[in-house]
Amino acid sequence: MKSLFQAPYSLFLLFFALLLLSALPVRAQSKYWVFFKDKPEKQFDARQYFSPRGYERRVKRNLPLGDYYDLPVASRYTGEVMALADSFYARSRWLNAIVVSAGSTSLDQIAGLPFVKGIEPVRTLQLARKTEDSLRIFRIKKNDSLLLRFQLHRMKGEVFKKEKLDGKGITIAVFDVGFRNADIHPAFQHLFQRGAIRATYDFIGDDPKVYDRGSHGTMVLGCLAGVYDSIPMGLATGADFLLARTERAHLEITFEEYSWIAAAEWADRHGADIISSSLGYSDVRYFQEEMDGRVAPISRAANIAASRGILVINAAGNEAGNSWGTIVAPGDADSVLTVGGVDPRTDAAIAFSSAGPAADGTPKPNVVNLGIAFTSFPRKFGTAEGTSFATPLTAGFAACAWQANPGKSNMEIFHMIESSGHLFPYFDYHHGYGIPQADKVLGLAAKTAPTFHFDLSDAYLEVKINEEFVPEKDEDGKLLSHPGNLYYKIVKANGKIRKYGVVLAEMDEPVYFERDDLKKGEKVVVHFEGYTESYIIDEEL
Amino acid sequence: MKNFTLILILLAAMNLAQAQTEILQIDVDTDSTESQFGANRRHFIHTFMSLGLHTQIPVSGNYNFPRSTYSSFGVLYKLKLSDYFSTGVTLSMESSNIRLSKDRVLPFPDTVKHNKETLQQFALSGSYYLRINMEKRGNSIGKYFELGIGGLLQTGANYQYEEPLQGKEIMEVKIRHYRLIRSSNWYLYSALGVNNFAIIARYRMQSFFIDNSGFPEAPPIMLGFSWGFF
Repeated sequence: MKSLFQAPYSLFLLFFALLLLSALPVRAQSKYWVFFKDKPEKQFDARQYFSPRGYERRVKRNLPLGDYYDLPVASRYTGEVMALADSFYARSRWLNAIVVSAGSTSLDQIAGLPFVKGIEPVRTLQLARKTEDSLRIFRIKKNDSLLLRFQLHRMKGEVFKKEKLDGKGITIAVFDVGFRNADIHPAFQHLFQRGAIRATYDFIGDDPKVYDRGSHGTMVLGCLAGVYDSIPMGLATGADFLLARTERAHLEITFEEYSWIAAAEWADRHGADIISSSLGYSDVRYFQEEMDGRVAPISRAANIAASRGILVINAAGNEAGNSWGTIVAPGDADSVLTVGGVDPRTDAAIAFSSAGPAADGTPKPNVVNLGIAFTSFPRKFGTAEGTSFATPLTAGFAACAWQANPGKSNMEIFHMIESSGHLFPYFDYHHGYGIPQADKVLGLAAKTAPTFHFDLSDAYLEVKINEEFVPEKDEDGKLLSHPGNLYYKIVKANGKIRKYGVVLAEMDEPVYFERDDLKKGEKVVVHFEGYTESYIIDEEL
Repeated sequence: MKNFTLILILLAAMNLAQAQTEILQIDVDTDSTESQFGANRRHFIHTFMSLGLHTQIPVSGNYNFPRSTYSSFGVLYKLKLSDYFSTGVTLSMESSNIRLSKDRVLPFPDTVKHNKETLQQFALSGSYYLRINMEKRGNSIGKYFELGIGGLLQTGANYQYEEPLQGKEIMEVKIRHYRLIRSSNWYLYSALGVNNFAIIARYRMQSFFIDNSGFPEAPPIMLGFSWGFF
């Protein structure tokens, strides 16, 4: 065996040491949230803090001006922490916290300050799979024009058009990775001509410019208010917009989570009624069991935004096909309207759409929308898929619903959108309450007559579809009309969903539930063609 | 009667299968079980590939080892001990190509100066490691520093070179089962990684050649990178 002290070994030890030393600065420069106990500075000038539109919104919606969340983070606290910390990164009025980097010794000293409530690490910086960026982008096809018309028709958007509802008077803040070429794209010229883009800010680059980086926001904005050949791609063509860049396109870093929070506070100051966020954070920073709306700072901030009267709409995530599977933050927050995706070809959950519930059992997603949409790309139009696009389609719907009901609060609109879902009152963890329907939210929908009935046989609980809803067939057995989806769920006695699914009702046959599979106290809930009915198992079958 | 009922049930079940197409079925209790397996869960296993260079250290003034390469493919198991500490083992197949350059005729490996002299070693390698993670994170690998110890068992060894003939013709010579390379060895290694990617360094603790070969030492240090597939 060689001597342990020969030259190459020493060199190797040196290399080890260098590796270790290169790791240490990472620890030394770790970022932390430092939360404060109180806000001693009570001076607050609402007219100075809010933009005129933001001030007007607070007054119009009877929201408080200058409550605890609006008060600034104490500059004295920040100063004392910064005397011990290495660098300052961000502050949040809503969370009453600042983000700093500090070594472990300094951190102990900071934690010992009498006004510090707690310290949480900002989760690690790393290259990551982007939750909402794994989009397959197709070339323009013949079917695109069909999809273009269908994506608004699926929400009965023609009813809003008939009622002249286009989101006018509503301000929507869009948070994304950037809006490349949106300022020169023909899809948005109507917005720029009437000055509908009221403010922009790049929270990554600390710069007002948002049109030179990141394409995802251009695509999302298209599903909100874009126009293709005079045909609207989203429902909110009359709304005003605040555009914020809060995320990098390819490198996901922790900075983005608090840039989202900073953008939410900015949106509040500038009078946003709705936040449409097609972003999400998952396994890079969190575990599934932490998706309860209380762990992720972004989820806590989203709930605070809702308490400020803002309707926060966020994508459920595209995680169904991988190990994460479930909702991403801030979609886990209970006051966030979380939007899943459906396949326009089947009207059932699209393969990638994240499923609920949140870790604390909060029912998620709240609603769904098309997970494949026709939209604008930086240099063209095309079709893209992801819950990223279901979200702005829903945000456009929300703008019209709020325009029609200006006296309602954000949470009233939240529940109106839920109850306007095409499946409502049926709910499951893939489809939520279904796709929002304009006629339902405006109270114009007719009550649906029963479309099926339950029948208990010796071996099965049968769901028999009424004859008029069975699709007709020609002599060769080919369907003459599209069969409807039958949604079912089995709910345990404690109210939790045990099982659910979708059946394509294409034949004149019942849908069977084995009696052996049903327990006393459970409930079978079925939705078919606008009609929902339950069957309660009141005896051992 | 029982048989008849069974047949009826089976017929009904077949009828269900024929009648309607189930396009989604979720069993919430079984589909939502918290996993013990994951990048930052109790257990994690994944395959990896490593590429590297044996450092060109002139251990003898008369020899050089330019462009000597290392490659491996294997599987890694990680056992999480806490947010910051984990341990585990690796098992891999690896290959080393030690390129040799003599500045004049020398006795190693033979007394002739050849072109593109290469010593190849193929081995089965196993290691045990301790990993320190830098920061709290979610269900991801994150940044880490790793120290390990490992051993290898040779599965093949070759000595090959090219010999110029008349004109432009070249004769390629390959001597299989080359016996002067040590058939087992052990090493220390370290890694500095972020998620799938790691920079690796390895130090061989025994000489490359058998003790009584009289040959100079081949480069003991390998520097490279590793890519995990997960």
